[in-house]
Amino acid sequence: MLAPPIQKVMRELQRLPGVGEKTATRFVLHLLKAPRTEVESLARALVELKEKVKPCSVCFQLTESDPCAVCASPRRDRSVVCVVEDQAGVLAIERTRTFFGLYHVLGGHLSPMEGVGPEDLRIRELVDRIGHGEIREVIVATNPHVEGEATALYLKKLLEPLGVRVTRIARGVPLGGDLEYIDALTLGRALEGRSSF
Amino acid sequence: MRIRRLRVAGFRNLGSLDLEPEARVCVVHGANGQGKTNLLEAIRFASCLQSFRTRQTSDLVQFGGSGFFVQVGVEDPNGLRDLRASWRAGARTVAVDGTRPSTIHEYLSVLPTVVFSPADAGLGHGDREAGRRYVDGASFFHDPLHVSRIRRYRQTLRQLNAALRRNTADLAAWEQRMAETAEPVHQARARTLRQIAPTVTGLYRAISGQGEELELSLEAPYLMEDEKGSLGYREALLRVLRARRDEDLRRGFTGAGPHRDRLVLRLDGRPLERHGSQGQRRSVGLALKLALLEWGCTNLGQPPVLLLDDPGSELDAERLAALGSFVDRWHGQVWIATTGPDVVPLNGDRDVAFYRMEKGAVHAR
Ligand SMILES: [Zn+2]
Repeated sequence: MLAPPIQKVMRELQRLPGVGEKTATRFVLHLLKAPRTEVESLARALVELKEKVKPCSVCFQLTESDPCAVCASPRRDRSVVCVVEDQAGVLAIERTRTFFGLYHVLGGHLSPMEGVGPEDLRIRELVDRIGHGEIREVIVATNPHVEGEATALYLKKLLEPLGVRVTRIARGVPLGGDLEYIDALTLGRALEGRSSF
Repeated sequence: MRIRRLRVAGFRNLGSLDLEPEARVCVVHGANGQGKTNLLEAIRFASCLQSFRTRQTSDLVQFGGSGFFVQVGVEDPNGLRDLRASWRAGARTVAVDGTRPSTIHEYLSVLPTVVFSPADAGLGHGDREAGRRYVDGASFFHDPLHVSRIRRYRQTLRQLNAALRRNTADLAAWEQRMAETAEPVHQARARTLRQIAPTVTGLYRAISGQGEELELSLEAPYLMEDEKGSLGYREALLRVLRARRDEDLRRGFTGAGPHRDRLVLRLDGRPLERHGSQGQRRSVGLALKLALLEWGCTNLGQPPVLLLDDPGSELDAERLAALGSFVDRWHGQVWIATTGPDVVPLNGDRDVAFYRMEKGAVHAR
């Protein structure tokens, strides 16, 4: 029988993705052996993370400053916006080092089965951004699976009447894959070879 | 390709079993309930990770057990391959040559099989599901990516149906995706059927000994008659989906798409399911399956393994004789599960092995 404080931490750790009982036990034993300062610094870092990191009020990627570094940078092209599903999509596109526009993070994809409709994604906010007039092209870089493709189609139908060019990253990307797992070179080429759809 | 080794544990009523079949034709015989069909089912599961008798993998677990294991050694022109599949507590594990395959295609392409079982009577009786399954199986031999097409299409269909139940704002986008993912499925099916049809009709003539003309076609009864030809399939389906949207919204699912494709069989111009005799339907069912075997052989470059489950229950003496002479002429491996050792009359006795099944155990004869 484990001491209640150990059980408590293990329960918390097991909420994390990919952490099972075995890994949680290893973490707890490590923390028990570690100096008090190390444990305190971890605890503070976690609270700080929650306090300081917020979605950017313009593009909704996670950031400490608002607007985020991308939105605030004078070197980024404000006429092009790349639409991704989540933060992992931003990181994947940034890794390619071929994109110098802005982002828009939807916060997921359309999925009627899970009850996710257009109103549950940050689509209205995207339309508002386009309404300000600076954006000329929207690159839709949702994941190339069934739901990502449908989300792309929905955006195309919705945004084209607003007078922007709507493009989709080229299909160099494996079918059914997630942007996160595609290597930067392939994704970079797909981005350059984007097309109207 | 031929099965050279078969190990099974915990599968239905089969005890721990380890066979090293050497013959081209393996006849597994025994009274009903002894496990001869289970043996074929185990081979089929190792081949395609599905049974031909049930959709529930848990049904395959021995009574009182918690999982099962099947291993086959397959001889093909490149040497010996090894397939292992096990199922425990709802989770499936597979290995090809000792390692986990990176895609499921890699596993599925090692041991293609064709099954002829009493359930195939449905093919001649107009069982729609069986007809689609048949055409998909044939399409898979031609192009293993057919599996991905079907998966993508089915997921889109599930999403579209959910959108219809909730009447969501993105319904139009799902209709369009549906048309886009449906087209490659329907077209691959139609192409396959056009190509396999001459083989089926030839085999039907040989099995039935009759001169009737057998025609096969893939029909899309959900499309509007006047638009079938002029528009492409995608555009025609999209129009239908839009036209029937109100109706589909009321029902909460769509009645248009490849899930309503129909394999239509006609003898001398008359639909088999309505006008065919029992014997004609059985002959057509067998011709379809043997054609699938030849088609698989042509496309894969080597013959799939044929699994004949209890052909005596489905075919009369004349058709069993026709089947026997097909098996004699055929060069691929054949497994036959029958009540008696000579239900399917075979002439060439050189390359035939007999196994007697009793209470889940195998006795070589
Ligand atoms: Zn931002």
